[in-house]
Amino acid sequence: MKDTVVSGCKVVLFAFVALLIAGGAFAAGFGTGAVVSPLSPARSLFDPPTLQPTATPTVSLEPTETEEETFDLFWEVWHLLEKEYYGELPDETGMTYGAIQGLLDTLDDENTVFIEPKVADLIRESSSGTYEGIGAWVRIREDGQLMIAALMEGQPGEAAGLRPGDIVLQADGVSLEGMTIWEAISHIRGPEGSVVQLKVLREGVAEPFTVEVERASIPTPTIESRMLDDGIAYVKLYEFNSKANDRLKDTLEELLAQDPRGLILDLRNNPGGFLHQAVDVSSQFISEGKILTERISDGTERVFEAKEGGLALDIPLVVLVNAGSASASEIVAGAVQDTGRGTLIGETTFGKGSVQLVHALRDGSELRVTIARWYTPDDRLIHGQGLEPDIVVELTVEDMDAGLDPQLDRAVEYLLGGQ
Amino acid sequence: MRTQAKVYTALAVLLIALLAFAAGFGANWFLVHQRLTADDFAQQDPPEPFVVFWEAWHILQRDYFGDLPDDKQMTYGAIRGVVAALDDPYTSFIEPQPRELERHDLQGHFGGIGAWVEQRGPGVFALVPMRDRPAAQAGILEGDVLVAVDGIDITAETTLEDVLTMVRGPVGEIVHLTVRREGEEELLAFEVTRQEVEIPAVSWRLLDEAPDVGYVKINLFSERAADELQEALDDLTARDARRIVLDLRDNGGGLLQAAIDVSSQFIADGVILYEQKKGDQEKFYPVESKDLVVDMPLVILVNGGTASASEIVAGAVQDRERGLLVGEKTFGKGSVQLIYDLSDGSSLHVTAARWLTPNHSQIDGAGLTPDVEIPVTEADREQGRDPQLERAVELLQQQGAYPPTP
Repeated sequence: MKDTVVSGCKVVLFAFVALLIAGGAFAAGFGTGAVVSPLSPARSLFDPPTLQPTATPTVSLEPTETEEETFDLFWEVWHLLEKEYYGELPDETGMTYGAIQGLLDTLDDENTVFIEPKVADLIRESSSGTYEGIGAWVRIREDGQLMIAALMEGQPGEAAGLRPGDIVLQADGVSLEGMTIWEAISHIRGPEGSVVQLKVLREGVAEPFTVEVERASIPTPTIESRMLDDGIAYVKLYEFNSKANDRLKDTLEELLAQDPRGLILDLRNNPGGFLHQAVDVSSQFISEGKILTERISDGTERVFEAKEGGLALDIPLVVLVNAGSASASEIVAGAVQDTGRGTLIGETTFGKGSVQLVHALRDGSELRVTIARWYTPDDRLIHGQGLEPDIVVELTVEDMDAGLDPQLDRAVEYLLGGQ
Repeated sequence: MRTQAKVYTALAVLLIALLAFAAGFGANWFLVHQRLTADDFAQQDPPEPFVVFWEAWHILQRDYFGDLPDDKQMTYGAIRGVVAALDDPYTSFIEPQPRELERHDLQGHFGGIGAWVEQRGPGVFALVPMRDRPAAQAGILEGDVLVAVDGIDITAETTLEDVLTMVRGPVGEIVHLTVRREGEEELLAFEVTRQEVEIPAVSWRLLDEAPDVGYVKINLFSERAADELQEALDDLTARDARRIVLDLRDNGGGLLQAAIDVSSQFIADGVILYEQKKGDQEKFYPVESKDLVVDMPLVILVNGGTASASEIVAGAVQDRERGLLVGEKTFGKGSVQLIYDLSDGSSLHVTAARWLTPNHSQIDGAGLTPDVEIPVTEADREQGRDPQLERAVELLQQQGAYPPTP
């Protein structure tokens, strides 16, 4: 008897240990899989989020009981529409997206946005290194109109006669007014070789006119540099993507080897990108101290300090900025200005002092949520106001037409003369 | 034997462990790859679309920097969003409070002095007190011209809307009016206590310049419109009016039933409009015959502000050849909205049908074209001239427009 019980116990014990081992082995396998798995949860993204997305614990997909009760009114409305509306109803996806958009409209925060899958795909395409389009940077003006901020040299947009400052009213007959920037871009981009008809309004031209552009495969530029006459080094950074700091390092090494007297960092029309890239780029010029402080809604703060190993810590520095310099660009410019590391020349910056976290939703759409505000080293909040340059210089359309760049000229003058 | 058993046991354990490890690795691989790209989602059974909404809502609740509106406001936001997705300017969601005000408008109440205000020139606003209302009771007479309201002077720049806003207000409050009266040297001052005044839908008079022409203006097709019209027509016929000008300019519409009732005052029988609803067969609304008061020659004044219910009346009169339309092309609203009161006091206006004129014309977006087109210019307005009314009177007196239908 005793024997059986003991044996029974043994069997149980054995089974228990076996389960433990099995469970442990399973977990070990799982964990190993996570490390080895080829895709990390973080994805490289184009502007404008200024925070590297990380895989966050998922939220519930079901409403709580109280939420459901309050939300019943929505279904009351939807069923009424299904029954009575004379006209075409959107499908369930259209309804869902409409509801989400309406939800976001109650927040009054233009940076918390919802992006439909096809537009999210466009953004992912941009970060891949090339995209198919016309080769232009665009920006939404305060009045909701889409404006050409700059044209890429040698690309179809420029060749077709578009100019910075042009307002794009329509693309292939679709009005772009009031659209979000990526929605508008999705109407302008298209397959290489296809043609898009853009209806353009230009200052000084009475009537809007049509410009036909044949799309091409455009490499997304990150950085450009050259040595100017008089021994001034010039670097233009287009966006704070995941390669920004690496490319800047390479560029700086090249330029500094030529012993320049001063350096111009051009951040005009740079719409931003990753926050960590902004810190890294700032650290090339600033040796120590605060670069920015991030504050979230419960008051917690996170200070980002300059990292070691900057390559251009002493060289006289000018940073060029304008209304298209936003977000990560303003982090760098703000740090340069507050620490006295360099001089800002140009026009007042965009004024985006908030940080968004990007969430990929389960159907491929994206929700970018404002999660924090950031402050310069001197604790300034530039949100809504922008940074004022130390030296204000305008760049007019006439200047651009004539091929002049008074902002750059002033920067050179400053570096050569010290004022 | 013992050793063998031990070896077997050890091997079994090892095997289990290896299998479990592999399973774990595979599970992770599988899960990670499930999350990859939108393409992957397309290949599986797509998740029920609306879960994405709850995902978004909960992410906001957890992460959003700043204050979130409460659940109710977020629900209203979602509703407005889905209504916006219809892309129909006339289908709308209205939260509980504004519905009260709107109900008042359609029923016809607000706090005022009980007088019509007529603009007779730049900065010249004459009062026409309504019988037994506060203005009349305070001693204001027809034709008194407003000089100041609560101490604020009326100037040449003051608009009619400004005057109405100044004069109207909360029920029970006093408004101080200073007027100039013909024949009096000094300005006169009155203290008028605002009462709940019913918004008159209809005003009328015999024209000074043509005493056999009755002029009737319908402002809004409210619940009271048809009854007030009856009153107007009774009064005018009693005072020997033999032709009618019906002014529907800037009348934005109102209740469908009111439009049918008003049409029935002028048209003897037959179709007033056709209605198409979702999934249903076409239906028509006939004249609801009353004692037909008027079979006199009729001209209707219309302009770009004549919309909806007004276009139903004008379209019926035109197509049934009951009268002429004079003025400018109408607005072009051929859809019908039904108002649904929701369980929490809010309401939903839903475009539920399209209406067509007796000749099956669809006026949505197009409007009705008047039989005689005449504009009113800025200069006309500043001089207090009304060329559309003048032309209407001319037409009526020439030959009485269309002969009355038997």
